[in-house]
This record gives sequence, C-alpha cells and structure tokens, in this order.
Amino acid sequence: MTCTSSRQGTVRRGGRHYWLAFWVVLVTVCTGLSSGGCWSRKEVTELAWVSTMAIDRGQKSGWYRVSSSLLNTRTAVGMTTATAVEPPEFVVSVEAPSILEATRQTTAMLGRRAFYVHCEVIVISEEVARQGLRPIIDFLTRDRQFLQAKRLIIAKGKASDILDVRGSVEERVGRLIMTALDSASVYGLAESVTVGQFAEAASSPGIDPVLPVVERVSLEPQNVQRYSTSVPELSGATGQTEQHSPSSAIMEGGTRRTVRVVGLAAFRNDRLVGWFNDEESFGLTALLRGLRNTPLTLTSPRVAVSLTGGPSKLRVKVSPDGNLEYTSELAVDVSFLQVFGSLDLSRQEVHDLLMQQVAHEIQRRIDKALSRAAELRVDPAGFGLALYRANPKRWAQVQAGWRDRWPTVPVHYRVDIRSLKTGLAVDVPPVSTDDVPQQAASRVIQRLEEPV
Amino acid sequence: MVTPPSGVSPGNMAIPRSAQADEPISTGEMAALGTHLLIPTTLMFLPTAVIRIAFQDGWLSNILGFGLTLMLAAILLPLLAHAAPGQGLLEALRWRAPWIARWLGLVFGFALVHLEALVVIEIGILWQQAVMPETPDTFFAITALVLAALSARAGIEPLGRTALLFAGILLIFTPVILFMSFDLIHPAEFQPVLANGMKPVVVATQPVLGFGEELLLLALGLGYLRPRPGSSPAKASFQVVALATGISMGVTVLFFAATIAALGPREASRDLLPTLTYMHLIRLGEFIQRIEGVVLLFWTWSILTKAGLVHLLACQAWGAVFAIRDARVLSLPLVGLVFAESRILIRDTIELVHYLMIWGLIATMFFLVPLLIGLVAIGLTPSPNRPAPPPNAAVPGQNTLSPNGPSPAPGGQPVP
Repeated sequence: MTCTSSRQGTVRRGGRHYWLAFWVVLVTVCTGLSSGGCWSRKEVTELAWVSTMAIDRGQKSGWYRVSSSLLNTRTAVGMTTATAVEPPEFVVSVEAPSILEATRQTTAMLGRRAFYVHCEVIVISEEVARQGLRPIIDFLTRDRQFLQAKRLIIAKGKASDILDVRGSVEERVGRLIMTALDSASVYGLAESVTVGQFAEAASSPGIDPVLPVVERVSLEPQNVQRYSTSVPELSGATGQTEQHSPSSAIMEGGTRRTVRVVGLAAFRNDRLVGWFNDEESFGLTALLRGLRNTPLTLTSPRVAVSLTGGPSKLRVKVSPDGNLEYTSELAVDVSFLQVFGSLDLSRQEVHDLLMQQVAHEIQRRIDKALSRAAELRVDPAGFGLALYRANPKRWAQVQAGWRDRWPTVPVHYRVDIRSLKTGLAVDVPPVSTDDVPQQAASRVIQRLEEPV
Repeated sequence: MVTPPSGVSPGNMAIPRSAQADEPISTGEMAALGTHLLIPTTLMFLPTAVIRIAFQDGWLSNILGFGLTLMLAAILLPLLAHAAPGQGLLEALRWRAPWIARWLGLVFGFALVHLEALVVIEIGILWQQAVMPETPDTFFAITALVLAALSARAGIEPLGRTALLFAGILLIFTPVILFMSFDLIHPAEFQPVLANGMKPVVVATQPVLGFGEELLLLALGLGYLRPRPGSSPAKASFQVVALATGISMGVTVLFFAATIAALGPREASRDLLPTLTYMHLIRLGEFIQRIEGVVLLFWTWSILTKAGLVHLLACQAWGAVFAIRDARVLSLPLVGLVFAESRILIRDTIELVHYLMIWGLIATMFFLVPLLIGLVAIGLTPSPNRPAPPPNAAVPGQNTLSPNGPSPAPGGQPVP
C-alpha cells in the first residue's frame, strides 16, 4: 500500500508531463532519423553492390590494382534474367596507391557508391602476397564495411583473372568461390580462412598463417555460340578499363571457366613464401582442423574411404633440461565407399590391417606437410604456439630461432582409427565363381602383411 | 530550498521526509540500475584496455577487478544503509554535516558530470564508428543528453523499470549469443598462459576496478531503495550490490572470454570495439547473418539508461551543493555543462583508450574516497534521529521515514 500511494504521488507531482515530453522528443528523434534526415543514410538505389574484390599489383611501384565484381542490378532487380548481354555481374578495375583510394575511385567510375558490406571474398594475387599482406589486412580490419568474416584467398597469377569465371553453374563469382572453398575444405585440400583468422595467426607467436589458393581453369569447349557476344560495358567506364577489364568479353570461343582450389599458400608472418600441394594440404588441414568426410584412396589395397575426425590434439613436453617433445593424437572414423577387387570386409584381420593402412597413409601425408613446412621455414601447425601456451618461459628462450629449430624437435604422431564402417555392403559384388572370396582375402592379407 | 529553521541546530531537528523516499524502487530495480552502471561501457571499451595489458589472461583481470568491486561495494553500501536508513549519502549528510555535504556534493557533481560526458562520448563513438560514420557525433551527444535529461526528470522509477526489463533480456540473450557463436570459440585462445606472471593481470585489474567503482555511485541514490517487508535497508543494499556485481561480472567475463577466444588476444587488443566485432562474426547458417543490429539496439538502450541514471545522480549531487530538495529541476541546466565537457574532454578514440587505462585511479579518487569521507562524517556526526535529548527540546515525529508524509517540524508546521 505504501508503495502504491507513493508512486501515485510521483505522477501527481508532474511526472506525467515529463513523460509526455519524453515521448514527444523520442518520437520526433526516431521519426527524424527514419525519414531520411540522417547523414549516414544509404539508399539501395544509390549503391553498387560489390560481391568480390581482387587485389593485384599496380603498374606504379607500391600501387594496387583493385578489381571489383559488382552485382548487375539491371538483372538482379527482376527486370530481366541474366543473359550473355546482361550478365549477373561485371568487373571494374582501378589503380590507386591505397585500397581506400581505389574504393573511392570505383565509386567515382560507377556513378553509384561502391558498397562492400556484402563482399564475401577478397582475392589477392601471388605478387601482392609475396610483398606482404599487413597493409591490406590493416585496412580490412579497420574499415567498417569489411568485417573480419570476409574470406581471403590467394590467386595463382593475376587475381583479377579469378573474377572472370562466368559460365559455370553458379552465376555469382563470390558465391562460386565460396562453394569451391567449402568443397575443397571437405576433401581436405584447403581451409577456409577469414581476414580475422589470418590477422590473428600472423600476429600470434609460434604460428604462421596459411591461405587457400585458387586458379582459373577452363572447362571443356561448349556449344555456347550465343554466349560469345561481348558484355556491354558499364556507362562511365573508360577506354582503359575496357581494355584491361576481364569482363570485356566472357567465354571467348565458347569456353566456360571456373575456379579450382589447388592447395594452400604458406606464409611467413604476412609474406607468401611457398605452396603446399594436394597431399601436403591434406596433411596440414588434418592437423589444423581435422577431417570432415574427407576422401582418401589407398593404393594397396585399392580402397576409397571417407574420413571424419579431429582436429588433432597437440601437446608439448618440456624436459627438465629444456628439451622439447611433441605428441599429437588424431582420432578418425573411417567409412569404406569403394573397394576395388575382392576384399572380405567382414573379416576382422582385414579390418585391422586396413585400419593400419589408413592410419599410415594419413601419417605419411602429415609428415609430408611438415617436411614441406620445414623446408619453407614456416610453422603453420602452431608448434611454437603450443609451446608458448604450455611453457611461456621456455618459449621466450627458443623464440628467436624457432623456425629453424622446430623441424629438429621430435614429433610423435598417433592416428587412431576409432571405427571402421563398411557402408551399406559388407562385401564386394561377386563377378565370377573361380575367384573364391576367402582365397582372395588371404591374398590381400598376405599383401597387407608385407612391410610397408 | 530547505534550510534548518533558525535557532535549531541540525543535530536537534527532525529530518524531513527524504525526497528519494518519495519514489521508492524495489531491490530488483535498483540492482538492475547497478547492472546498467557496469555492463554497457564495460563491454564496450574495457576489453581493449585490459587485453592490451594482459592478452589472453585479461578475463582473469576482469574477475579480479569485479571481485574487488564486490568486496568494496558489499561493505560500504550496506554500511551507509545501516548508518542512514532510507537516505542517500548526500541526503544523509545534509542534515548531519551540511558543510561536508556541500563539498562532497561539489566533488560528486563534477565527477558525475565528467562520467556522463564520457558516457556521451562513448555513445557517439559506438554509433559513429560502428554504424553511421558520416553523422557528426555531436548529433549523438545531443540526442543522448536530451534523453538522459528527460529520463532523469521523469525520476528513478521509469529508469528502474526500464533497467529491470533490460536486465531480463540480457540474462536471456547472453547464453543464446554465446551458443550461436559456439563454433567461433577456440578454448585454447583464452586458457591462462601467464607468460609474464601475474603482474599484467594485476595491472589490468586497475581499469576494471575503475569501471566497477562506478557501482559505488549508487550510494547517492540509496534512499530510493525500498526494502522488502521484513528486510533491513542494509540487507537490501547488500542484495543490490551482490546482484548487480554478480550479473555484471558473469556477463562481462563470459563476453570477455568469448571475444578473446573468437578474435584471438592480439586482434582483440587492437580492436576498438572488440565485443561488437565479435558480434559481427556471429551467424546462424544462412538464416541469421547479422545480429549486431539487435545487439546495438539493446546496447544503446542500456547505455542510455546509464546516462539517465548518472544524470539523475548528478542532479542529486548538485542539489546538495545548492540545498535544493527536489534536485531534478537541475536536469536541463546540467545538459549544457555535460555537453560542453563532452566536447572538450577527449580529442580522439586513441586518447580515450589511453584515458581508460587510468580510469581506476580517477574512479578511486572521485568515487571511492568521497564516499569514504562521507561515511566517516556520518559515523562521527550524531544522528538527528537519535539526538541526545536536550532539556525542553522534545522533537515530535521522530520516525521521519514514515510513509505518512512529512514530519511536522518543531512548532507544528510541516517542513516543506
């Protein structure tokens, strides 16, 4: 009762008037903001939506050539569907001393404000990556349009070539690259890396970043005569842009192009220093983030399996005299998806020996990746970071020459095959009566028992 | 204006009914207001300041800082509530030691104007840097200040209810957000390393303690607190402190750790608003791509509530200086003072980050020390409620906290 009476007393003393004034001001401010009186307003019809950005080295020293793949709103807003003369995207390239200036020049050329919030992928050329990505990363993490979730990839050759891949199933370049990256990460060829992840790895002690690498590939020649016309250039584009822009003509001679992920790029701090090929990338991704339905084909016996598991648990042991020793465990589930020849998968001996073979093959690829990393003097697996976290004092002692030291540190890998699944069949389909499965299985076991 | 009647010493006169006691709010509402004093700005700029010093061990500093805050506030505020039940610090001092009340009011008045100017600057940075870069931050400052002034004039009750509503939303959304960002979090990133021992952790506690000591400002508004039936003011104030600090510590430590784990300590340390950047990264498949708009909405709501509360407390402080009973009349005039200070206080965001590094020292000097002085003054001054009865000076209506309205002063006339 006390509460009620005192609260009513408050209102009686004029609180109602203050509330009225409060709501009047609030509604006025909100209405003012929403009715276009805001300085930062962005009208959809005044924006040019950039879906992918490519950064190459400019002709002048220290300059960048920035190519932006923009959504063609003439086809995207429902006026018409994408055709040869009205492709879903077009490319505009500018040269500037900084990325910031390049974005402003792009806006000036387009007549609309280049809008990068929906730019999902940033392609960087090999040349630029070898010079170092720190200035680019700094811009991307500082500008509010480029969130840290943007994905970074390295192009073998020119980055702007990657934007010229129209003709594939996916019409938008950014989406095509994203799906290619996702697929590649499934089959263990690459790892999707965002701007933030790269920046963190490049600045952390004891770990070097990696980035996926893509290249442009041509598909088989198609009968696409109707696609051989040139794309009408955007109004306002200069003659120079027309000459150099990769969008000046698509699918010349009826050739469709797409992108392919070809492995990982090795960085020392922020500078590109080399490449990891297919098998090395497999080993590295298995270490870094594990396996996700990743296919693997054994050669002897010839069996295709799908692997799931990880990531590996890296532990470091520092002995009292300061010696280091790493152990890593990777637990993997294996599913057989294709068996060549006769192999009785229902037999336990076959299971055991195949598990050994799978584990051995994974370990071989990891070893190969680490050998390559040692050769490039990089530490993408984060051995140094593991030491820093476990024993920062010892890390401080070895930090200076770590890239030369870590290859000499013993690393014990253990690949555990947790389960072995045979899919929906336990045996291969019989093809003749003269090859008795048991005999075939015995032969396989003999072959498996030979020392690797 | 209320002045002691001539010929009656403060020690001998009855305390008129507390202005704050006219607008009681519940323990939950007061705790929610305390949460608003701590959370919004702590989540905004503190991660950068702390992680720059302690890197991935920064969340330990957060626990340590909030632990110290809890200890300080859990001792001092119940002590005040016990010594002067139903009154705020300055209110209690006005009738015990008016001279000290004026000087402390002056200190608190300037400190609160300073704090509100900082809050206004932070609102401007949040919106200008993160959302609307072309809009001048003066626009945000004026909008925030006008809203704060109007909400302060409306009184503590609307503020308390708004705060309580937000606290509920915060408690629901925190685990949801953390769950949505589960795939971003790498636990190895925030496992304690202590590469340089505990020293950076302890040093980084200083800004945390500065933000935490803002909770002590509730001492000025403790008169608003209405204990539950059967509960004492001291117990209620302890509950307020425990709830506010507990919720704030839990939420900020979780977001600290999640931000460090998602961005990495080095990226988080160079980010101006790392918590917002962390929110940028959260997405739920193709379904929910950007949640930072919702987060910004609640964040702004929270920080405006803080601005309103600080403005109200600033009015109380200046009201003590000028001996004004209902100090809310100072609400609009204070807008000009706060606006002027917000324009000249900080030159840029780098200066702000550096300034926050010493915020612990500033808060100790201008929040903790005046509170301690006030408490000592209250302790040394005989309570006018229980004066040594002078001969022929019977004071009627001693139970001045009675809800039945103002107590009659000597002579039978009610004190205005």
